[in-house]
Amino acid sequence: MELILTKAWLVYRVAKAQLQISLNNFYEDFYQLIAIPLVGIAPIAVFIHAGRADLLSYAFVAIVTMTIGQMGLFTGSETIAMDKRFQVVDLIVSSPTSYFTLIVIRSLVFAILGSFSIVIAWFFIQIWFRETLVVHHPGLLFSSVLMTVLATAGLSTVTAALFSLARNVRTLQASINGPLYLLSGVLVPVAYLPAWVQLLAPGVFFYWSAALIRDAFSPETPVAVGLRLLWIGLSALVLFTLGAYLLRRMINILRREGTLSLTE
Amino acid sequence: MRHLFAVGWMLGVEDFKSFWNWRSWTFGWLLRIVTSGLSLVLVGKLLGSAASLHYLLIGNIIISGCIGALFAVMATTWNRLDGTYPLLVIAPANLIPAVIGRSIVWMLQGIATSVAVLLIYSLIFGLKFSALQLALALLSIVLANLSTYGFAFFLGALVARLPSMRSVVFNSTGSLLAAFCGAAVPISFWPEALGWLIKLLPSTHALIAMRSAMAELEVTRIAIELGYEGLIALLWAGLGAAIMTYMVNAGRADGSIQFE
Repeated sequence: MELILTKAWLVYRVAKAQLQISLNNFYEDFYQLIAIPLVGIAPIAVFIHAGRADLLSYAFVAIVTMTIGQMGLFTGSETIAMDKRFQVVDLIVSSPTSYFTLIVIRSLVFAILGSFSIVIAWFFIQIWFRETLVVHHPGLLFSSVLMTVLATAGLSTVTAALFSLARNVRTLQASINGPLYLLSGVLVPVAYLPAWVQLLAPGVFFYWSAALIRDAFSPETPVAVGLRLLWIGLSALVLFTLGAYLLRRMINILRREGTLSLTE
Repeated sequence: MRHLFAVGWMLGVEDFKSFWNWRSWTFGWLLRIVTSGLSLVLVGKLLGSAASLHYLLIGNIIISGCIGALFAVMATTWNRLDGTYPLLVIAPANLIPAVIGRSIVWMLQGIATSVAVLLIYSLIFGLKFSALQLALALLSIVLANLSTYGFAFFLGALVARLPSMRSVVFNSTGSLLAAFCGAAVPISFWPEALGWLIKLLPSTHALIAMRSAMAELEVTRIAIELGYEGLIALLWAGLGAAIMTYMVNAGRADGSIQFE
C-alpha cells in the first residue's frame, strides 16, 4: 500500500511539475493544442459545403488523433532535448528515480492534454458550424482515445530518446507528421490510397485509433473492438519497451562521453 | 539601403541552410507538405466528386507555398532571439531592409514549394496545362507568395514583441488561410462580413486568378485579381513596416529595446 502511495505521489509531483513548466512556457508547449485543431476547419467546411454533414465525424477523428499525436510527437518528444538545453539532465540522471519513469509520466501529461482536442473539435462542429455530431458508442470513443493517449505516450518516449541525440530536432519532427497521418488515414480512410500504402497502414497504431473513433460515430455495431484496442495496447507496450531501451542506451552513451548536458 | 538588404539576404541564406539541405528540404519539408496536402485533397475522392478533387488540388497548390512563405513570421523574430535586434536599432540606418533581406528567402521557399507541388500533383492526378495556363498559374503562385510574405512580415512585426508566440502564429495562420481563402471552399460559403476580411487576406485573389486560368480563362479578370493580390502584398508589408518602425521608436523612447 505504501509503495502504491509513493508511486502515486511521484506521478502527481512529476505531472504537476511538468504542467507548471509547460504553463510557464505556454505558447511553446501548448501551441500544437491550439494550432492543430485549426487544420480541421478546412475539411469541416468542405463536408458541409458538399452537403455531407454525415462525414463530419471524419474531421472530428482527424482533429483528435492529430492533436494527440502532435502533442506527443512534437511537444513530448522535446522533453529530453529541453532538459539538455536547460542543463538539468545531469541532475535528473543522478537522482534516484529513473529517467524513463519521469519521461513516461511527462509524455502522458502531453498526450492527455492532446485529448482536450475532443472539446475543440466538438466546439467547431456543434457550436461554430451548428451541425449535429452523434456519438453512438461513447464507451468506444472513450476507450479508443484512452488507448491512443497511451500509445502516443509510448511513441513519445521513443522519439524523445532518439531526438535527444539529433542536432535539429524540429526539422525531424516536422518531417514525420505528414506521411504518418496520411498513411494512418486519420482524415480520409486508407481505402482511398494506393494498394501498397494500404498494406503498410495497419502497422501504425493511429490507423486503428482513427478507425475505432470513426466507428464510435457510426450507428452500426462495431466489430472486433477488443482485438483492435488490444493491438493499440500492444503497440503502446512495444513503444514503451523500445523507449526504455533507447533511453538507457542514450544515457550510457552520453555518460561515457561526458556530454550529458552538452550535446544539443 | 541596397547594401543593408544584401547583408540581410546573406544572413537569410545562412538561416535557410541551417534549416535545410537539399535532402532534408525534399524528403523532409516537401514530403511533409505534399502528404499533408494530399490528406485534404483526397477528401475530394472521398466525396466521389471530380470537381471537388480539382478544386482542392488547385487550392492546395497555392496554399502549400503560402505555408512555406509563412516561415518569414519566425524569421522576422530571429533578430530578437539572436540578441542582434538592439544592434540593428541603435545602428544609424533603417532596420527594415535588413529584416526584409533576412526573411525574404522564405518567400522563395514558398514559390519553390508551390511549383514542386504543382508538378507532383500534375503527375499523380494528371493535371493538364496549356502554355498560357501554366504561365498564369506560375504568376498566381508568385503573387500569392509575395502577398503571403507581406502578411508574414506584418505578423512577424507584431510577434517580435512576443517571440514565444512565433510558432503558434506560424502554424495557425497556414491552417486559417487554407480554410478561409478559397482553397477548400468558395469564399461565398462564409458569412458576408467574413468574406470582406477574407478578400484582404493573402492568396485569396491569386486563387481566384488561378481557378479562372484553369477554367474560363478570362484574361481581364485574371489580371485584375492578380493586381489585387499585388496590392494586398503592399498593404500588409506597409503595415508591417509601420508597426516595426513604431516599435523601434517606442523602444528608443522608453529604453525598452532589450526588454520588450
